[in-house]
Amino acid sequence: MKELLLLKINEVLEGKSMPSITEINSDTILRDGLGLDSFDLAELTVRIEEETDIDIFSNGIVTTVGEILDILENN
Amino acid sequence: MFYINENNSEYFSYKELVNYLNESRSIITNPYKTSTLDLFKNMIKALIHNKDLILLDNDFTDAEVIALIGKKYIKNVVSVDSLGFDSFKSYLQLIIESKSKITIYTSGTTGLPKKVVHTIGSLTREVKTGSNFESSIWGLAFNPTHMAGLQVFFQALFNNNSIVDLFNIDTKTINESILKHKISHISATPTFYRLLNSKDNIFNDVKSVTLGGEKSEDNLYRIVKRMFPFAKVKNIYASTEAGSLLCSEGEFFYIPERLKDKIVIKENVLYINESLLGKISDLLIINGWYCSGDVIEWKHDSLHYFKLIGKSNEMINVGGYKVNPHEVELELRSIDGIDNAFVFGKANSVLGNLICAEIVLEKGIEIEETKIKDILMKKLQQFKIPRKIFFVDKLNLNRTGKISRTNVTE
Repeated sequence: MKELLLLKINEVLEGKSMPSITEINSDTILRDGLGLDSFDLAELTVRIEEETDIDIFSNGIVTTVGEILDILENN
Repeated sequence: MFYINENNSEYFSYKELVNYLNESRSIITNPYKTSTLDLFKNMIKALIHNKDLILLDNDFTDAEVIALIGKKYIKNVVSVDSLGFDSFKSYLQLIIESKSKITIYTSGTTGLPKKVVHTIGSLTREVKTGSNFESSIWGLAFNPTHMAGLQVFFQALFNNNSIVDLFNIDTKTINESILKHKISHISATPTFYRLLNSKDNIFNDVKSVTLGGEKSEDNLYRIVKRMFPFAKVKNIYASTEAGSLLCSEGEFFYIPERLKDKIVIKENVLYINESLLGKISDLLIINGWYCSGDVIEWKHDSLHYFKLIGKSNEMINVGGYKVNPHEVELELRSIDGIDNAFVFGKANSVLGNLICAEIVLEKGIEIEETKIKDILMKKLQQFKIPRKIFFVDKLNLNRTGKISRTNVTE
């Protein structure tokens, strides 16, 4: 799941012409740590949903990589 | 304080505002790419000197500006004399009586954003003043050049209130700003509240929360009630053409007695009398009435209360920003190698909708998604750019986002 999430985050970063990242950890903060704004988070949900059928934001906002991994792993 | 922005460490008092109004001798009549504080100072100065203003979004691209104003942007500066008043109260009186015309742009229904020319009267019709409003502290969560941002600006200005800027600021700083400055009033889009939502965030000082700009669903009311336990929650119906028109507690609106001959509902669509509008193209007004395009649904067994259920036209609401799919399609089709394009909103738990596009490439051509986005970035505001592009053999004609993926070959 971590690899999938890294891939999807990099797809979003690439669309913004931002350098890709090589690793993420549970504490990484999506907005401040990775520089993702609300549009990027919205795009990330769509890209993850395409692969997993899971809407990671359906129960409210998530702020860290670890929270996304929890949602993906518990579904 | 007049204006506070924790992100830029800007703190500007009403006393400093009076000094600025007395000392600065120039006004930019078409401010563009200025800070919000400079925009506000300049706007106040223009109003007290009865100078007309054109407000352009900071993120309009060069191409959009040319299309809107007919030429390349050139800053227009006029000189004025100092009036030398020693209190803001005297200047406020001049603002209230200002003869300035203020031009703003709204997303159009057939292509480019359309322009609406307002007067101080039409912009401040719903501004409330009096002892109840004296100590309000406003959080500004809207774009300051848009109707909703201007409503917050004038409401605060007319009451000598502080404006704390929360627009385009990260959630952590928004959180700190609300607590540190004891913000009492926030007006924002549902997306703003959704992004602020976290179990640790509870704001006890906020007395009034207004939702606007998007359809608000029940879950959002629960979120807002939890974060702002002591706030009155209101929903507002406003438009760029008319400003704030209706206000409700909860999701149902009604037309108050004083507006009954000016706002009518015909076949479940809301029409606004031209007397309530800023100046817009005559073509949009038929027999004195402007069709808002907003579709309503009556409350069960009532011809008094109604809720807004959407637009009759095809505008896509992305986190409170209205995107005209035709404008985006036009730009996509102008890219070499693209044969046809279809832009639609896909339902999204963060922004309400996300802009997506289906694209048919010319035979034998390959273009990467990122390349298309790069080209669009030079031509369109960021919120209009499709975040997900599907390359298809043939277009699917359904703009609601329930696309059939049978043709998707990405």
